[in-house]
Amino acid sequence: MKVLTNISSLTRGDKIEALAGVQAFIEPFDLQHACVAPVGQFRIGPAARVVTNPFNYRERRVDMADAVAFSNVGEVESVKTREPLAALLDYLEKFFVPGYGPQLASRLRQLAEDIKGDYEGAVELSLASASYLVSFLEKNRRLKRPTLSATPAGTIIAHWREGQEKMVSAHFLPDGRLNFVAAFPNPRHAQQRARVTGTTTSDAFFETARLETYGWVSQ
Amino acid sequence: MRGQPLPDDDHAVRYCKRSTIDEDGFIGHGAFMLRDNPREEYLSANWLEKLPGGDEAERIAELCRIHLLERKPRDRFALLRVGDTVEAVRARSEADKVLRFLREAADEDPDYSHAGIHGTDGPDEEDTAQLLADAICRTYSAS
Repeated sequence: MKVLTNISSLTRGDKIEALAGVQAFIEPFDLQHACVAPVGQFRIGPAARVVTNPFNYRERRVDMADAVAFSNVGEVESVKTREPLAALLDYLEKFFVPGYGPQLASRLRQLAEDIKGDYEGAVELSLASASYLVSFLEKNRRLKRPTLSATPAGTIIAHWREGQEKMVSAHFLPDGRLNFVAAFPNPRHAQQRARVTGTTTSDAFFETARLETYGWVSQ
Repeated sequence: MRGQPLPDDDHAVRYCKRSTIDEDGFIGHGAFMLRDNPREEYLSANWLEKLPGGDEAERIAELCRIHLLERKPRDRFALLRVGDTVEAVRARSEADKVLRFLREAADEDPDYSHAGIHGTDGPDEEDTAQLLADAICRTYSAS
């Protein structure tokens, strides 16, 4: 993990401009380790208090030693000029905290192409759905990388499986809600299968579905 | 005859697009969700036993021919045993939902085995789709 070092070489105006670009790009995500933000709302520094996503997520405390850095502000600048899906994939490949960012980006890229082909361009990968997925995974780094499929609306379903018996699926809706299903052997009657379904928001999925009880979804 | 119920012991085959299948080859429940635009009235499928062939593999080969134009790499066919599926959804859905598997084509139609899975819509559509995905008994590559 790199720490942002070269931002100090910029003028105050440069910073604001660059950071505004980052914020515009990052807005739908839950930026785990924000170390840059528009002046007036956020500040940079050890243990700075950062509002990572004003719509769905709680405030977070950021430690500079744990900060993701943009060692090349030019690259960050270029992010804001690209179309949103490309920007999301770029984020996954360069800044996403869990180690599987590039693989996740590759799968989302493939899914976006498959959706276009499957529905002859009438449906596209839901960027909002993908953003909530990315945000959730970045917030819950101990989870294994899920496999992904899509719905006919272009929204994403994440799957965690172990063997044939255990599975958790989560459908990330574009408005931040989430439908989930978990199926596993009944802990008291192994020959029976337990099934739990529910609706929550993507930021509360871990707690609502009690994912900590499913050890096999963690790395 | 159009509207004819499929027998409980027969199979409906759902053509599953690659985007509804995860990278491990598992069919997600998105494959059993209705399209919104244009809104589908039922889930399209094919009546396996209506297709010519001495065994399942030959009938699937015929299905590949029927779906020739839309087939893409990584697409799959999912088989559902009609009676088992109806019972699984009825037993596990909160509203005792009863699905109907009906023939949607006449003998002279080009896609003469076309069938429909009716009754999946409603506020619990996604839950029903998950139960249908759980009820898959076998899958085949469509390519």
